[in-house]
Amino acid sequence: MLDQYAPYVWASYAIFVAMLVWDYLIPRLRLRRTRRAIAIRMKREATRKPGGTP
Amino acid sequence: MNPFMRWLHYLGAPPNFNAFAARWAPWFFLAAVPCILYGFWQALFVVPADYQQGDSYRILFIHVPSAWMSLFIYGVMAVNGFIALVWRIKLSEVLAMSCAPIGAAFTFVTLATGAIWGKPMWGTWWTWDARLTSELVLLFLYLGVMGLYAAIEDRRAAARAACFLALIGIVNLPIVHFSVEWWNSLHQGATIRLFGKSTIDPSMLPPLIALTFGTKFWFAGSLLTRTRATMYELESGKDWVRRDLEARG
Repeated sequence: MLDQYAPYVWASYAIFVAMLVWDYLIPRLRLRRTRRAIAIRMKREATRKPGGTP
Repeated sequence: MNPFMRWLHYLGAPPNFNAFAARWAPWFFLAAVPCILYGFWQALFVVPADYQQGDSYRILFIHVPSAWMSLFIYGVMAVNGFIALVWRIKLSEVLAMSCAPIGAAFTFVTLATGAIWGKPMWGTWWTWDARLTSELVLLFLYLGVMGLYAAIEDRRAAARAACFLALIGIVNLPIVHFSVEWWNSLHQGATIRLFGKSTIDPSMLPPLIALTFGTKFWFAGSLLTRTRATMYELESGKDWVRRDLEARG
């Protein structure tokens, strides 16, 4: 299976897969971080106005 | 206004785009994964070894689709940059800026896999050949767009400046594509043509076609996800974001 070039071939496919994994994860982590920050801000705002009174 | 234009206007509203991206991005990834896996299986285990290059040519089944994506994504970025500059549509600004990291990643893979293939075949990792150099310039253009967008505090002004750079950089696309014809190049010429006769052996086409579709679907999923994430950041104070967050629990 594959000849003496196997390390070159596998290294190339590994780089390609690593790029896809990076590309899949990064925006999801960003979205999760942003959501968490907004949720914390909303909670803080809610505690400033107890019971929702004006 | 025709229904397609009405739909585009509808999609231009951030909450509508958020719902659209949340719904469709997973489907694009789901379509991409089997295409890529089938392409890998064909490329690594099914298609015959090349009579001159042996198994090293199997690298080209990811190198070539990545190179096509590096040019295609730049085109998408430039078109969105143009729309953003002319009609000041916020969604187009964000779409253009979301293209840059994906395009840079595919360009990096193109250069890296080309270097890995070049070492056993050409005897060197790198040479200042016209095709290689113009592809490296393409990577620098992507990095330049990303850097400019990150460097200016006002997000709208940053996006407009970066879109302008993206539009200037479009001059590099024909240079990359025609470099093997315009200059004496170590890099081989095109073997697959949309118009005219392709010189690639038909037995080598299935993995190339599968990976071409796979990378296109992947790009669509990634672009929607990245644009959605950026929209969330930019509009974090807006009601629709809070409503969306509350709806998710």
